[in-house]
Amino acid sequence: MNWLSDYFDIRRTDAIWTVLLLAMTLGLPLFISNNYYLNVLVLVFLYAGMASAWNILGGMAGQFSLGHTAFFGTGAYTSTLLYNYLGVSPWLGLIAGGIVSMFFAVIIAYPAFRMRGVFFAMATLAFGEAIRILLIYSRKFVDMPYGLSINWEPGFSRMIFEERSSYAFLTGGFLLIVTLVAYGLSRSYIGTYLRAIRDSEEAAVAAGVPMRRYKMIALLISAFFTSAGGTILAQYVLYIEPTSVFSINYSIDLPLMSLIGGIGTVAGPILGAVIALPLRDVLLELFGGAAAGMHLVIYGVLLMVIVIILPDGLIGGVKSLLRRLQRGQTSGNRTTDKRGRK
Amino acid sequence: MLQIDNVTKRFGGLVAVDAVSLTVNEGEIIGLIGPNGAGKTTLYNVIAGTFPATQGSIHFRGQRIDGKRADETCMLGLARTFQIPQVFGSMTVGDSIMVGAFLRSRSRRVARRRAEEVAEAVGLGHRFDLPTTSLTTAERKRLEVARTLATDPGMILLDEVMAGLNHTEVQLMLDLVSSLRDGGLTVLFVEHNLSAVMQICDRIAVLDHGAKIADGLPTEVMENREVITAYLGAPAEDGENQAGGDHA
Ligand SMILES: Nc1ncnc2c1ncn2[C@@H]1O[C@H](COP(=O)(O)OP(=O)(O)O)[C@@H](O)[C@H]1O
Ligand SMILES: [Mg+2]
Repeated sequence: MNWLSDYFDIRRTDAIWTVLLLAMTLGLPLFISNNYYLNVLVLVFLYAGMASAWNILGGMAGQFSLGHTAFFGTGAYTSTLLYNYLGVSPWLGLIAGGIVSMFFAVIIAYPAFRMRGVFFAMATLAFGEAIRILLIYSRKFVDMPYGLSINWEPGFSRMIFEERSSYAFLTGGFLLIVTLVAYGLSRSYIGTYLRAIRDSEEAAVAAGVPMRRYKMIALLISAFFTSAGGTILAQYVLYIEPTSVFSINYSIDLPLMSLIGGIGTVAGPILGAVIALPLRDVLLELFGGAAAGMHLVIYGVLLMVIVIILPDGLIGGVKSLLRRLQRGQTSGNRTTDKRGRK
Repeated sequence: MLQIDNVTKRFGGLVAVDAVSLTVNEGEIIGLIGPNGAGKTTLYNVIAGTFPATQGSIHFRGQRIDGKRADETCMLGLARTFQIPQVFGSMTVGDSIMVGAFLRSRSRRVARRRAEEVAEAVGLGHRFDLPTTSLTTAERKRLEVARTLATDPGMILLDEVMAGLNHTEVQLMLDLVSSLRDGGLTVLFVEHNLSAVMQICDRIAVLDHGAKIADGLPTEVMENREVITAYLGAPAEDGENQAGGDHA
């Protein structure tokens, strides 16, 4: 086990996070029996996992993608088509979808990685839109219904479950795996390389970082897990259509959740999903009846307030609060200047 | 060690580097001087692989390197600093040096030990766990040097690592560079501070308007007519050249 601490930066506080995460993903599905809350739990786990996947590329490597719906929809479509037409198990379909998504990722990477910042975001946004339009257009040539339904026949190999809590375990397991991968990347030399690329491409390359290769690694991992999320959602909802699974909402929600929780951190996207999804539900319940779209206005304003007050997300906010408390303790009643220096 | 043959770099119509040839032998410290805009930084960019050369060839340790990417030349043992320090803004000093150290070992433990050694050597040991954004200008220049040293280079290209430093800081940097040479490193040294260049370099090459106008022992070069005209004929340089002007 010694090589683990040689290659990964393991900290003492990680144990606390691990216990919290395990309790959440494996414990909550056991104790919650209400179907409404179980549904929220499934969606929170699924979004948290996909936001973490987005964050590997968008946060750690700083390549702000707005096109992740392309991978999500590709995952949903690949596994569903394979299952409906060829009877392939969605477990295999999940892998197949991930591979197709990685193939798309390589195609988009070629032009997009030449661009930076806003231009990269726009290129990926266009890519996500283009895939949906191509899919709708392709129905002129291929005989395929607009929407695809999956027959409800529960069975483990079909990834269809009778109990909603089984879906909570499934999505919880998904979240655990993505988090483990994100954690491993973040705490190894790869995480340091990705942050170096994000901070200064010139300096990273001058320090011997093969930038294209590491951006590509981040993109492929990110695409694969987002795609897996698409397969899982398709198996949960049992119905997909181009506008639902290639919706731009996924492209926006995943970065948004990462921003709220703390972009570039391992825990940030999870925290973001835990807060943003239920918040939207609660607002819908409170204001949804009053005026159409009112809850979205309030949601938008709340998000803006969070991002303005906490530019580094909730994780960043908590960290700076802890630092301030610590300093308060060690320096006693000594005064500090505005920047907090002694 | 490094052989530059007839290298030209054009930006559109502008000839930034004009048919420059230069040979650096193993263990030497070569100073590369010239007025602002002479093409020194551009020549570095071409050598390191940031830009491709328009013409000419470059060999490092007998291997042709023009056309290689900057990370590939770094892997071969040729590392450079940036005239304007490029810090990793979200990292600590230690982590930024480790970025360089990871080139030779993927183990965090090994990379950290190497980073600590290098930080100590450049005088940033006491800053190891601080964020890079808290560093002064002089310290950022040291961090530039530290990041390149952490990659275990055979040769380094320093780009004005003394600009903006005060007298004591310049002296410390000079000591550092000499100690690196004593450790077997080959150094190409772009500097505005002429007295520093005179003190430390085995040989000096002078660029003006992209072309090499002199190459020789420090004393020879300083007496060269063309060099004197290049420097004194460019009065706009005076402000830039404070440190050098004081001593020259
Ligand atoms: N990326 C670039 N694009 C266009 N022109 C450039 C670029 N980099 C440098 N130059 C031009 O090349 C010339 C040499 O610049 P530089 O190499 O920075 O000089 P020095 O480092 O000797 O001060 C200048 O005229 C500069 O404007
Ligand atoms: Mg320059």
